[in-house]
Amino acid sequence: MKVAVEINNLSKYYGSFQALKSLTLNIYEGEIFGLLGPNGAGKTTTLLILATVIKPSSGNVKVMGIDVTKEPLKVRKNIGFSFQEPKALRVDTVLDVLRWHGKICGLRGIELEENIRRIMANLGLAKYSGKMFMHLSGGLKKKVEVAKILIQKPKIAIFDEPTAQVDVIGKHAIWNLIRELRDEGSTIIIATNDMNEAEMLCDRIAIIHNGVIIVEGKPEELKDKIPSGDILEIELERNLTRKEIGLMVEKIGISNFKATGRNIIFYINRGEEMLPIIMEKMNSIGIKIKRTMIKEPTLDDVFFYFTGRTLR
Amino acid sequence: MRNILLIISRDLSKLIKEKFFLVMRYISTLIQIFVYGVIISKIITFKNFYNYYLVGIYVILVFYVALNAGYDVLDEIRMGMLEYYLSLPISRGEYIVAKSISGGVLSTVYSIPILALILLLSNAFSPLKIIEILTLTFIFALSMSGIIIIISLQIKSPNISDIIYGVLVTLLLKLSTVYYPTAVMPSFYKYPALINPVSHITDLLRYIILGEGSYSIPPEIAFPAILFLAMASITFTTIIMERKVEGR
Repeated sequence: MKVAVEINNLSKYYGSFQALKSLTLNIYEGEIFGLLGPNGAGKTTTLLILATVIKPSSGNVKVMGIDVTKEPLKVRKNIGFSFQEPKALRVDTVLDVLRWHGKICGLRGIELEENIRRIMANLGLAKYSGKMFMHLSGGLKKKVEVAKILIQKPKIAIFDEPTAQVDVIGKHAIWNLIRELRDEGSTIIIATNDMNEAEMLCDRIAIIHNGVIIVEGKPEELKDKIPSGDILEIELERNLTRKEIGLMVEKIGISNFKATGRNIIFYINRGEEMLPIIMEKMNSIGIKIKRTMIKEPTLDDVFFYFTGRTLR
Repeated sequence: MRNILLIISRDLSKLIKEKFFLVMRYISTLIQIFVYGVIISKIITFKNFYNYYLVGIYVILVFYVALNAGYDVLDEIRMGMLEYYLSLPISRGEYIVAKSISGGVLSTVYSIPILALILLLSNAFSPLKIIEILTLTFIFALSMSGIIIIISLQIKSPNISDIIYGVLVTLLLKLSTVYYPTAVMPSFYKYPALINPVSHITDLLRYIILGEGSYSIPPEIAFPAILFLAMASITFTTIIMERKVEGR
């Protein structure tokens, strides 16, 4: 597969704060690539650098083989950017916003009008076409923001949290249209903190935390990074002391776990068989269990496994 | 060129949609002409002060609309629109030139009814004068929009920009020949007024509308000064935009 976006040792400082730390990443043509991470992880900064809206502090970024710092205009001609916060003039109607965006991106005539009609119909925006943007709800504004890029059909389509504030039906409509855009040949890059969105939509995912890519791969590959097949979540009645944790490890003999507050997560094989044994051993050393759950790993578990934090 | 026209047409349609701003600015100007102008010209008795004042009022109107158009960039920074423009397939130079020209076009279009009224009241209505005045209005307004855009891009902080904007407007209007000729100014006010671009445009328009003897700065100085300011403003805004600006 051909590389659409090549990021090498990318760093970005805002004053003394380092938002990105030597990020290296390849995104391939024709894939839906997800940047998954919590707020402030560096997702939007990465995307804004790709779109040449902000400049990198160091490192190289190429979009379709074009350097973002040397030829930013050429890069922008290949890119469409759907912002996290919808962007439109207060006094414009929905149709004004979409028509102007299409025109400035080089579309015109029947092609533009047909794209607008189709996307508005698919996103349920048709009945709001004459309504002023500033009078729309948050979810509708977000749909308009996404619609701009779906109408534009750029070679590289960037969506920053495309379904934030959008209802479930709207989410599915947006996901379907993004998949269609990919099938028509666009490369899609999505930033999200919604693991369900990442899992449902993305061909490959990079998990980003504190400006660093922690792990990347297909969703299934990421889940396979968690050693052992099952996740056993145990909620205790109280927090454990360090000494009690040490005692528990010694007694149970499982060192692959994470403890945060009153929650302990064990990464184990044959979870159902192991659960009663673990419960009994914990009881024997006086650790009271409130609730237990065995589950398949999710992307949130992957994130937790690598960072010790949850996305939720 | 197509992109520049698209940005200008969008700004123009935005101005038309902002009817409240349009109507209020016209009402304010009409009050200046028919209430304040009439009364003050009875107090100040030097030769035909009312006509002298009318030209000043026209310049004030153009000045405010041009500043408002330039200020629009700051407003767009506040609304996060600058990021959006910077992500579009247009060069930053094109964007900033378009915004400056927008300021010129909006001010010129907006000022036409008041210009017609002023020419009628001054008994100076002629198609040639209208063309000359509108051309100069466009060049001056473009410069003023550019200056405000430079301030907006450099400072970005809305509060600080508001303060600078307020001081700049007061300085440029009060230390100019908009309201009074340099002949009545103390010498330490006279010199700033003579280099003030607002004085240059006002006196140039007075020369066209009222003729000889109505101006403090001769047209052969005022006209090149206005042209120079326009070119400098466009050049500086483009350089600043291309080199410095980031979307956030």
